[in-house]
Amino acid sequence: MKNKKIAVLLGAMCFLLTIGIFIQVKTVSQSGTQAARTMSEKELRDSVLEMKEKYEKQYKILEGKEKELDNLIASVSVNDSTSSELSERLDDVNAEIGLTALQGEGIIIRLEDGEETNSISAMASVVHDSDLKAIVNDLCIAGAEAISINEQRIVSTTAITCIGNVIKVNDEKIGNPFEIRAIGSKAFLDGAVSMNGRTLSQMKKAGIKVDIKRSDTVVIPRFDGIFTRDYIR
Amino acid sequence: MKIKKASKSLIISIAITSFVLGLTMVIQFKTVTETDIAGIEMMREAELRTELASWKSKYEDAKLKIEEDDQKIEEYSKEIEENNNISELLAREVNEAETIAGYTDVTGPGIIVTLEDTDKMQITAEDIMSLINELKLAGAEAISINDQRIVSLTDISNVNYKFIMINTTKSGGIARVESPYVIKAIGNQKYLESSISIKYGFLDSMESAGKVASYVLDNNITILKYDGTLEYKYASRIDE
Repeated sequence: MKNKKIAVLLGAMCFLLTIGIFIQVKTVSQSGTQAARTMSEKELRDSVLEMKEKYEKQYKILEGKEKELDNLIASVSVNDSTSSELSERLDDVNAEIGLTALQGEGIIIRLEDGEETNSISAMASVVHDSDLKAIVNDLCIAGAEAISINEQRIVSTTAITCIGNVIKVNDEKIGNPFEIRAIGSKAFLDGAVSMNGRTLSQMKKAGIKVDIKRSDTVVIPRFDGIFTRDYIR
Repeated sequence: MKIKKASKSLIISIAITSFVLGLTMVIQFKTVTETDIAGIEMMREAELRTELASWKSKYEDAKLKIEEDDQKIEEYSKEIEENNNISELLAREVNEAETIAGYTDVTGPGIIVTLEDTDKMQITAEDIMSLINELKLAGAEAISINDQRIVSLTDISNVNYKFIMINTTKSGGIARVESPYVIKAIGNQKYLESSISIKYGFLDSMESAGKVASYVLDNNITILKYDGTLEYKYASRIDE
């Protein structure tokens, strides 16, 4: 009887041990893929940085080429009226699409996330992509001639988006604090955006720090991206 | 004594079993937390992949543009060397810039989205703005609303429940549009389509708000030029 009991017990133990080993084997194989994944993520991170650097180098070269081309055009067009007219038109259109830095009177809006700790009001007291979109549209309605957000010029292809908790303008990440610059009538722009009920007044109420400054020398950088023409004819 | 011996070995074997069980449980717990981390890691990986793809396409764009510029520089140099008139080359350059600015009619493949008012739900300027933002993100090269071209600083605003105003601040181009709103965009059809039909994306948000939106893909969309002009009263160029 006793031998039988011990045999059953040993059987049960062997069973448990087998299960234990089985689980262990599974864990080991899982942690193996885990290690592989972190490696590939690190590699991925490296290749993102590498590609970004590659683009930046390429863009530097491109800038040089554009300058060379500009100089070439400038060197001849002076003594030919058709050409100088065309070259003037080219400068105007390039300014309009955002390929030239501009300066003039306007306003500078500074936005800073609030310091709310309560999780619900904290959500409301940070600047969202929808806020920036609405402010840009308000400025357009007020007749802004050029707009930028944190050095990113707003052009015809500009999308303002949010991925996770990062805001992207022209596909470039921008972060708190936000500075929106606009060239146009400073009185008109200021009046339009600070009107009661508009986006800025709502943001102020939600706890976001809002500061509007009028200036006679607002500088707006050129668009430092590339307009593609792969599909339009 | 025999009984005591048996119970002793019993106790030992139970102790061993408990130990093994305990160990197994610890391992199991570890496995569970590790899978959680792996999930987050996966999410980051997808984000990284999009990031990589985006830089890569920018790099390709830059490379292409450099080739284009090299060719132009060569052409200009040749004309200048031979003392020819460069106005023809310049005219082409102006045309390219005007195409980007929206001063020319353009055709190409793309998507046509239609938004319609119903008795209960009206389409707002915000709906149209969010659609346009999605299309831009998907790389649209030209966009229009009821044949009004979207340019660099196009404004869109609600007037009342019936009309939406577009391009009000540009001289000559002022337009009042009304339902049905037909938004045309030229670009990569695959990207344009998936950018609005993605789960919880634009079309889903319209549907859950009870609004009517539909789209078709078209290989030969024509988008009309912007027929206003933009005159700078306040801005002047900074020449580098």
